[in-house]
Amino acid sequence: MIRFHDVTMRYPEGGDALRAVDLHVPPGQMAFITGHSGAGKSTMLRLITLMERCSRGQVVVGGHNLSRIRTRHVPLYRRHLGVVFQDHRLLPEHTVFDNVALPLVAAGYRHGQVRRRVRAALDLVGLLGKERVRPVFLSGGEQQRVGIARAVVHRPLLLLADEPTGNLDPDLSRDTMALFGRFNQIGGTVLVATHDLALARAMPHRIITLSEGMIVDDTGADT
Amino acid sequence: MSKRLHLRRGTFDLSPGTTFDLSVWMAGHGQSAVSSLGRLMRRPIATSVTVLAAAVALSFPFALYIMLDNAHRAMGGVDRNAQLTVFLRHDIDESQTASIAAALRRWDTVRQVRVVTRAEALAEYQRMTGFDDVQVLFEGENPLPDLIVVTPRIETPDRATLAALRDRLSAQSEVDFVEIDLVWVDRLAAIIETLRRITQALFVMLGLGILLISGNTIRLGIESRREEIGIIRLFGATDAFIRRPFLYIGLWYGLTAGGIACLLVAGTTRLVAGPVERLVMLYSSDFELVGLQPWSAVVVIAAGGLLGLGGAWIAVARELTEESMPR
Repeated sequence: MIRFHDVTMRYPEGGDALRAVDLHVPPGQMAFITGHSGAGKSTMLRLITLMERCSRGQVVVGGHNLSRIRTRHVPLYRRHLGVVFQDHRLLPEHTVFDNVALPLVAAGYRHGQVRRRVRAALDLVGLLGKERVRPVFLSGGEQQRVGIARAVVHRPLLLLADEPTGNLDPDLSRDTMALFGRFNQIGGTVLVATHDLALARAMPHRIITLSEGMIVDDTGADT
Repeated sequence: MSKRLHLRRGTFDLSPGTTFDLSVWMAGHGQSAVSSLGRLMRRPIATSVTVLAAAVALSFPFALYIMLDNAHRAMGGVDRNAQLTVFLRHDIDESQTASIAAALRRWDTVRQVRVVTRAEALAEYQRMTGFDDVQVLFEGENPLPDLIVVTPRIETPDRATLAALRDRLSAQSEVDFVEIDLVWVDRLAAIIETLRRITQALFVMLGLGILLISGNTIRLGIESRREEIGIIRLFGATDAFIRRPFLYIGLWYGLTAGGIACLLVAGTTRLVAGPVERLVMLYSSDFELVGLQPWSAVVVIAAGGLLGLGGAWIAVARELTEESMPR
């Protein structure tokens, strides 16, 4: 599903965020990327989401070399991804329904399909009945669950999460991880960037550790 | 979860996931149109200021256009009075004068022909001077020739056309000379041309102003929603999808400004209608002031809409391709 070949990411104003990284995440695997702040976790996710393009090497996702992907194909590529953020990044002026519906509306789904899928996704995260509420009236945990519903509503092949538990208490963090686990059980590939090594170790999944832009440890690659 | 969501494995398909569906496309546009309108109405003061500025800019050239149109119609009456006086030779008698007049009536460039015989001219002279015994003054002779007053068939006072007609009349063997006052015609033509140019220049300048007003407002709107655009892009939205609500905002600005401009022009016309009517009465003219017609109101509103849309399009195209915009 994800392949990094000798990937280096160099920012003009700083040093190398990633240095000659080689990585393979097969389809259906759930993996954690851990490391201290600035280790390169978020950069990996930014390369996969095509928010950045690598300075050297190749990033191949879903069979596509992202260095060669055309600009007009980027939205179509992203429709196969689901992304969860630490700060949720919900649209404050829109309701929960509209936030969750965003990937479906952007992809041109019919209204009936949108309604059914959004309800299913909200049911999944336990927020059915809050469709008309605006995010500002929800707790941090609820906002994160809206973010997860939005990330899975269009049934992506790859779910990416950047510090998804950073603002949550331990119980909510475990619930969030459980949701990712359930997504993985039905065949979705999941990549979670987190600095919470204890939380990652508590789950039976692969853990890739980054330090100063390089992979320094990779355990459970066969899980 | 397994009951509700079923995932496919394999490579990413980069063809559009859904085929084009007109009803979905229209629903998307309807939703963008309504949501952008709602967004404007949630900020009534900022929206009103922008719309009023655009409306005032739009109303200036259209008010001038209406003024020019009315002036043009008023001048049309004057045009009809632009006449050439053809003085015939002394030896031409009344029957020859009549046949010359008949020939002139057949000319394409002549609207009207009026014969003034030497006897009528003498009577007119007598009436105007109040000199009863004019025959004594001229020793029983009438020194005046027959003359023909020719009204040309022209839409606007045009020196070249009138001069050509004068030359053609002068070339007739029975004609002694032709009189025409071209100075006032030149002045009139110059005034109308100047007004027309001013109106055209105002159209261009203030149209550009509306483009800038709409464009700058949209640009600020995009700036304030930069993060939101980044999120929407990350979930697979195309630039067309992101552009759509902003284009509708521009369109609403323009259409509303056009509507208000119509009201401003109609109000101004009503304001000046009274004084114009009194002025017209003093000149015993049948001229009537014509205000904003329904078709021109449609043009004003459509022009406003197009300018608003154009400004929004330029701003969005520029902003979305900016280096600093989240991709």
